[in-house]
Amino acid sequence: MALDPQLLEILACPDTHHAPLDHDAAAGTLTCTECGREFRIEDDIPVLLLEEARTAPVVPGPHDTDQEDDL
Amino acid sequence: MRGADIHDTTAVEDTHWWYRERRALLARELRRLRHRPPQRKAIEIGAAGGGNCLVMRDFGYDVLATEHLPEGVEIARARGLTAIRADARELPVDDAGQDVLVAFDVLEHIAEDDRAAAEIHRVLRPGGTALIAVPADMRLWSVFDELSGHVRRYDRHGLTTLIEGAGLRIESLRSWNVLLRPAVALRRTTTRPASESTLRHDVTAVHPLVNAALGAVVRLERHLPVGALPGVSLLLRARRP
Repeated sequence: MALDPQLLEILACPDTHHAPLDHDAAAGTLTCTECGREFRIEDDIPVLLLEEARTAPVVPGPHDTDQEDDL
Repeated sequence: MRGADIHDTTAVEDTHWWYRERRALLARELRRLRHRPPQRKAIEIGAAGGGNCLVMRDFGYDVLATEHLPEGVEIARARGLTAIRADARELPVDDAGQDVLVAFDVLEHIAEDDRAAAEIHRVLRPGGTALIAVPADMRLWSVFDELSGHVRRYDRHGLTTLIEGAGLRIESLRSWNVLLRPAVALRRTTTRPASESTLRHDVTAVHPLVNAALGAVVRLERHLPVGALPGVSLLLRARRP
């Protein structure tokens, strides 16, 4: 079941910045637009607990760009 | 509260005197707020199976049930409520978006209750109302509190300091379950449940006649000026200025 757009409107990251969340319906996740933490949606229930969030993968910075040659 | 408690209390909350009167008290508070537009969004923290949320929904609120334990959220969801798993110290909702917040029997479970109070303030819109219930008076502390996972019981001063410290303005603070306090105190000091499951059974399995009698007594309090006397619970209404 899709997440109610009105619910998505009021949900925010539990961390102190309380940034909006992006919904990925296919993956069943909500991702913080600020810190990148990923929260799972389990049986239509968003689990918005910091201790159960998956931390964001490290985004390569400009100094890491030479690594792209290895990919 | 633990997951098994939520299953037990959900099963009896439509008939059990304590839960029935709590729902009635919430309904009376919501009636009081009817004239305050706009009244649309409501949130409950520590919603357990969402019994209070159903009352708010009946009043036309767009209500969000938040609960830490998965068992409670699943029951709330099965009842057709919008429910999420959340921590009352770190609420995953936007600032200043809620018209009403209900926190019944929640703060006493949280060691950092000041963080929960700060979150109550944050998520309420200016002018929004918080309805809070907590167990009263450390003199009533017993193994029942320990088995329920309570960290403390509150006195008026402590609760006032907590709520005003978070920036909320208290409109009303009164005792509840005043008439039955002597019976509750006696029972809690003389009975020692052997285990958590005994406690749950003790709380939820009430003979129908006893249930009717206790219900009649606690309903009497609606019409008696006993709110300033010592009770078993404290009920508080506060607004975000």
